[in-house]
Amino acid sequence: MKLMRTRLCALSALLLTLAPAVASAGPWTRDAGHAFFSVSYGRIASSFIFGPDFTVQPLGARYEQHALQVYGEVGLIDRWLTLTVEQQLLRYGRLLGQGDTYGVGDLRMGFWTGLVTKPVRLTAAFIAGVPIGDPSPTAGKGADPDAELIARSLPTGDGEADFELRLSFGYSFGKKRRWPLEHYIVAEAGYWFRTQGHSRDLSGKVVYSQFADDFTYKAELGTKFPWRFIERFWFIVRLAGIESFADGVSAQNTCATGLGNGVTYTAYGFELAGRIYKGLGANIGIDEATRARCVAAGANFKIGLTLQF
Amino acid sequence: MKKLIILIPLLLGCDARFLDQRSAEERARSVLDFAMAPVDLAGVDLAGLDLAEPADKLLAQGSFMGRAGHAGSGDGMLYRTKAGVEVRFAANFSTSGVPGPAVFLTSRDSMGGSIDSQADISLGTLKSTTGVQTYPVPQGADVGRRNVFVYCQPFRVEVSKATLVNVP
Repeated sequence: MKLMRTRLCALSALLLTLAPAVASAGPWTRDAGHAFFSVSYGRIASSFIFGPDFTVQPLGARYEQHALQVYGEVGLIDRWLTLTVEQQLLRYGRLLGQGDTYGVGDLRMGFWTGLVTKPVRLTAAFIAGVPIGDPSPTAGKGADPDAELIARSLPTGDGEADFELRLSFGYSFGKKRRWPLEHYIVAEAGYWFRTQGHSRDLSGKVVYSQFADDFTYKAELGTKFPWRFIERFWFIVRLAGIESFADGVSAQNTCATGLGNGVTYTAYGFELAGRIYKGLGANIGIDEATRARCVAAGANFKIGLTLQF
Repeated sequence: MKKLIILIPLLLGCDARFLDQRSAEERARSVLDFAMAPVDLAGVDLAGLDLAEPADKLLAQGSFMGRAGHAGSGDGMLYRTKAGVEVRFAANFSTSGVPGPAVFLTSRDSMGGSIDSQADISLGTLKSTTGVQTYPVPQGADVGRRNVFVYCQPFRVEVSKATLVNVP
């Protein structure tokens, strides 16, 4: 298993050289030879967690997660094929005063094809998750059981291959000033085949394992104002979520912060994305779950740089 | 810049690295051997135990209370049966839902943020946050242990506790 993950790790580095980084392509696919790249930093911190029964429960120590993520999409065939690659290059999880783990997160690769291009956009995607992250970090040889428990509670990956089928609908309007503002809307829905979630005891033996799948969704509205300088910015609001079909027992037994079978959330978010110079841009945003299971109960701050050509 | 980003996964490898941030005192409390400690029955008065009694016998009972901001209620009991000693939760049992909950039988009044493998005996994963459930106790492990905890193992938080009082 370790050898396989090492190979996947090397493969991911190779893929990153081939595909100029990530996010979710969405309804607007890229023409051949055109690409989009982003590198972003995200942070979530909280002393509470949404428990397996959706209630907010206190944690024994403050939890922090820092992630450096890259995303890239490149058009391979006009309209018909856009490749996306998304990976957490570094995922750092911390329980204040107890311990922390850091490592590479999981990789996701997507293949997007344009089904309809006029008058609206409709795109279908097949997205595959490659389990590069470490689902069961260890405190090392000779470590005491508490250290082992702390390490186990801070995985950097879910340890499972997963597949998602997604439909993405998009529509933009007002671009030629026929409308006072310029807008776009996106609506997405997907089925995420998550395979086997599991948990291990202190000796590393798998003591619980069960299949689970999810429904994913997103609704997004972006608006540009026509005033000088301000027109460089997209003001974006979104509602996004994952609805796990795992039952409470499965969620309880595989639950980690943001990983595992039970992960469910409905989150709203705001983002400001601006153009700095030619294809270079920057964005800053915040997302927060209002209803969730197995995720930290705190806001997720993001900041990033983007490049498209 | 791009080369550096590409190299990060290879430099880190795929296995997560762990950094222990506990104080020296906390580390010292933890015990290296986490296998269940053998229970020393020497000096224990076994005369009062009617080992031949066929029917289930209530040895001790108490009520659950929430800990550290969590909810907990209902009754917990310690029974001796033909098969051995077991902890039972009554139909009115209820506790908060937390990640990775486990049931512990311990001699300690408080488990705090660490598991003491000498004092704390794990009875396994919590089967349900409500209702009747049974947890077999390893042979001899009930001796001197009358506190039952529902404990969140991943984050080492006490969720609920029942102190069982011996029934005459």
